[in-house]
Amino acid sequence: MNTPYRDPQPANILHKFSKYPLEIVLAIAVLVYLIIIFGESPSGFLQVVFNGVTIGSIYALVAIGFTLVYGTVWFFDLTYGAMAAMGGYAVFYLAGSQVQNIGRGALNSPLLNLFFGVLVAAVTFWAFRTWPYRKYRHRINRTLLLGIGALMAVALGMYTTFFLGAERSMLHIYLSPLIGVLSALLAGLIGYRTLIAFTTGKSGTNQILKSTGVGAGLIIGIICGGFIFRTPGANLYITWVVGPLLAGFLGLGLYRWVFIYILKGTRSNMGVLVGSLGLLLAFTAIKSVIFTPAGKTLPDTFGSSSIVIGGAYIKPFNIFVVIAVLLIFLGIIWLLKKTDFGKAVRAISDDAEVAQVVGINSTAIISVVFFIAAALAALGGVFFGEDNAIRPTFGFILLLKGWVASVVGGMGNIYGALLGGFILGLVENFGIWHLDAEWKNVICFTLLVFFLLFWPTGLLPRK
Amino acid sequence: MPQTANADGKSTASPSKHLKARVRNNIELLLILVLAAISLAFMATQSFGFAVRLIQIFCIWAILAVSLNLLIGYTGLLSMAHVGFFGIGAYSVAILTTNPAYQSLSTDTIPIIALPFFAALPIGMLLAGLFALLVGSVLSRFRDDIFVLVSFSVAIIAHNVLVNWRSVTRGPFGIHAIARPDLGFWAADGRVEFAIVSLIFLALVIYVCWLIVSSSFGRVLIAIREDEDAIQVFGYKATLFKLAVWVISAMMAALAGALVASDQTFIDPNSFILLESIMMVAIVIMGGLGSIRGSVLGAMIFVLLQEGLRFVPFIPQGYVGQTRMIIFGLLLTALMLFRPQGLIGRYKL
Amino acid sequence: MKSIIKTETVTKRFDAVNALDHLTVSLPKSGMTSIVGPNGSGKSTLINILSGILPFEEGLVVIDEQHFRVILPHENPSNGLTRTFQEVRLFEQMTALDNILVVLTKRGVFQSLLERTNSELHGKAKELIDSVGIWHKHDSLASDLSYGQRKLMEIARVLAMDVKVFLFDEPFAGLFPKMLDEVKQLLIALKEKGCTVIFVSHNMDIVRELSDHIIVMDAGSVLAEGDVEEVLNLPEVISAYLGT
Repeated sequence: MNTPYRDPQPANILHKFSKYPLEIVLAIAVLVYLIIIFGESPSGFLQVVFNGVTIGSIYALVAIGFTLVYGTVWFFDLTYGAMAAMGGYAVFYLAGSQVQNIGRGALNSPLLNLFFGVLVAAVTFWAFRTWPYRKYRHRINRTLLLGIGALMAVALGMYTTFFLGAERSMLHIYLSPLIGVLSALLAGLIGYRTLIAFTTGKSGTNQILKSTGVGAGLIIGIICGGFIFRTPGANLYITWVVGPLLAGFLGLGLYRWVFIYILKGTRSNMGVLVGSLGLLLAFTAIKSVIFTPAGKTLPDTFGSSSIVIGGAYIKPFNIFVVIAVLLIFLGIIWLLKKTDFGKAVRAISDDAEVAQVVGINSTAIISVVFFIAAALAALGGVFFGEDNAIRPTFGFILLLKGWVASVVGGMGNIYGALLGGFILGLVENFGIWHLDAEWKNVICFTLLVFFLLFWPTGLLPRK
Repeated sequence: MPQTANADGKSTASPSKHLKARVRNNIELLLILVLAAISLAFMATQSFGFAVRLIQIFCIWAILAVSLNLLIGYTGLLSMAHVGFFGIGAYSVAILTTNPAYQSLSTDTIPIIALPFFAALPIGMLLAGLFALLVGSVLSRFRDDIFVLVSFSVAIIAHNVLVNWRSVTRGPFGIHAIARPDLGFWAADGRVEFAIVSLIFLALVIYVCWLIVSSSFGRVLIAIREDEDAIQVFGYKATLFKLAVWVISAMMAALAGALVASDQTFIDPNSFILLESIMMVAIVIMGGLGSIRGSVLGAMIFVLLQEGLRFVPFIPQGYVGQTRMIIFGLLLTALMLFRPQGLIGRYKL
Repeated sequence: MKSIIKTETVTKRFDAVNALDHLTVSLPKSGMTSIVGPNGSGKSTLINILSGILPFEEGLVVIDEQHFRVILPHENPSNGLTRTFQEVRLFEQMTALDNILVVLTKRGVFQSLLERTNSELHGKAKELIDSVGIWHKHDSLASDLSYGQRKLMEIARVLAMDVKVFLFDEPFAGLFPKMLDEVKQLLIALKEKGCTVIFVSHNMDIVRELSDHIIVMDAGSVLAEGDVEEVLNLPEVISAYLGT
């Protein structure tokens, strides 16, 4: 009897030879390589570890945001890179000149400030029309409502123009009301939601909770505003908040008003990929125009002195970043596992159509996901910018590295994103032990190809 | 385009469809002619040398676009790696034909082989083809989005290698004294002669592409794009077909690279960055997927935009490149939003 | 009853679910066999396994005495198989004519490069599209055809294949009575040519009318098989359809 017996199609090429020897051989090779390096210079080894972990945490952050989006909508959003760059440049724009007297020099034109003001006004009015207007237009006179919206828009617009044209040293004064309001809203929302989560929803209790939440929010907001008002140097940290916030809204807007329509009109996810590529291109070019293609450095927030551990240098800022990234990671995990929002995200991730049928407002949920991811990207850009010079293209490179990190760690898996980020950072830095630093990119993409060939699903399985 | 003709070669479509198709074809040709007329008029206002320059640049981009369209438009492979093969062609010809006289000018020297252009050209194309075979067999296991991102990496690696492998490429210093086409009795020493050579090659490339897409092979490519699993059920090894068109397209890109190298007689890695690949993709998509004419049109528009922007008054000179990028980027997104098949394309992404 | 295709304890897993659970079944060589079963019983998965669209984790598939642990989709013609898709997978942005032409042309890379559409190919394609009665639509894009026409195109496409075993995945789903008749006639014609016809369906009237042999699946394995009337009256079959 004819029996052409074939083995199952190998998931990776070398499974043909056998499942485990490859992993073991590689692990041993890597270990040997590391031991050799350690032997050559223990402090050097430690330095490389520090460098690897430092940049790795940034890669991890970028990868987490990237995975969040990809894992939910299953297409690649290349504007993510632009968001990262935006974070870096926002900090530069808002805080740069205070420390270095450069920055907005070429741009401090009233025309540009006015443009931004108008932009903010328009966006505010649109946002107002989308939510509060629709919600309350049956209860309150429409003209009045529109009037309030217009007033808010104009106020915010004028505020923005004024703020952008303001003197550096006065920045914190102008910033504080905005921060106050924003933090009040945020705190109120969080407070309200948390309290809701702990109680059953009886109408009477709801009212009390609402007012408690709002009250708490107001108080927190005033405190924050006051703090910033009184502390001249604090605005540097605020730019860290403003940058990601801006990026977040931009990311949300892009999904809501661009990507959704592209998805409807094209047959596969390639349309959105190309569309986001076009936007990335445009954003990068715009940044080139505004900030020039030359590298810029961000102000040192924590001071540039390093501490020495075991003969290797590390800056306190880098330690801060690692801790921050870990905290953010935990926060995202909590968000995904313990909240209703997270459940909705996972439902959409598993099957978008079914999620829609079950009544989940996919558009809203995904918009929020985009917001969070863009904010994370911007934060990554900010962190990156503190240590390295930023150029308009660095966002795209970060995006690619974030993607490589998620491939290594396992696409669609948040844990994998964290793991992959650190692994990439370490591999890059160990890889250039004997080579020029310019070869980092090649090492990164070689790692990518290696993984795609032999471990296409990454180290950790899909969520 | 797949043929829909009966035995005598006449279209079997109903009269109104026939008419519509004819009108459509005519409009496309008209568009190209009008554009060509505008460009000629524009060039006439400048010097003759400028016009020749423009035609030369157009030929290169047209070859690149037409060859890339085979991948993106017909087969559905959105490759960002095209610039890599472009670079291989350019550097192969550069290394093989460079003249010893200039080597002493810098510290990085490369081996001197000094072949004539027409000998180096096929070698360059072959090298690109082999490299494409290698890369393609790795890439063919990826679909859609991941394919795109991996092809990004290929382009970045290629550029990095060009910059860093100085013993072969002389890195950032570039390579000088690249030979011009020389047949012994006639040499393309001047710009005009070279432009003619480029036009001839462009015509050849277009012809070969037309042969490919109008054959059964072309139809299979489209089927692969539409539904790769379904076409395999009917006995086609999609991987082989994809590899074949990938290699062909790479060799054409290498041809364009060779022409660029020879035309400028100098190249350096800056002409082979990832951005160029993105531009190529933008041109193909803008001109229209699955349409050779579309790619030609796209290249025309691109070149006009590139050079025409110089003359727009309120854009400062240093920002022309950036402005072009902004326009192209927004154009790409707008296309995806409002016209995913491009200007005169036959298929949507 | 000679069998043309057999599966031996084939298991197909999707995450934690066994779509096919140690399935052992024989598909007879002659006549029309229908595969029926409640939703999720694994009927389409079986077709997908046999045609190489999905890999399977355990077991063997035997096609015409040849044992396979892995089936690749492009081996279908050499295995003597072809199939239609339940969800109609035509090449959407190609014309109906091209959809048929593409399965008539040469399979080799070099041969297909050298081959151009000639009168012979065109004639064969016309014949096939005519045989399902939609030649007047041959220039339309597949995406512009009506649902019934698309179903007919799926059938025309497999009729173009030079094989002996035809797997139809829900060829009757969602069709008007007139169309149903057409499709029935097409399948019967195939059977009378001596080909093996295997179809999955939910339409019990047609199943009763056409099948020489029936296989009832449930939860990834065979519940019952044999003569149509007998099997459909078995208590376990009835409860599988009506039950929990």
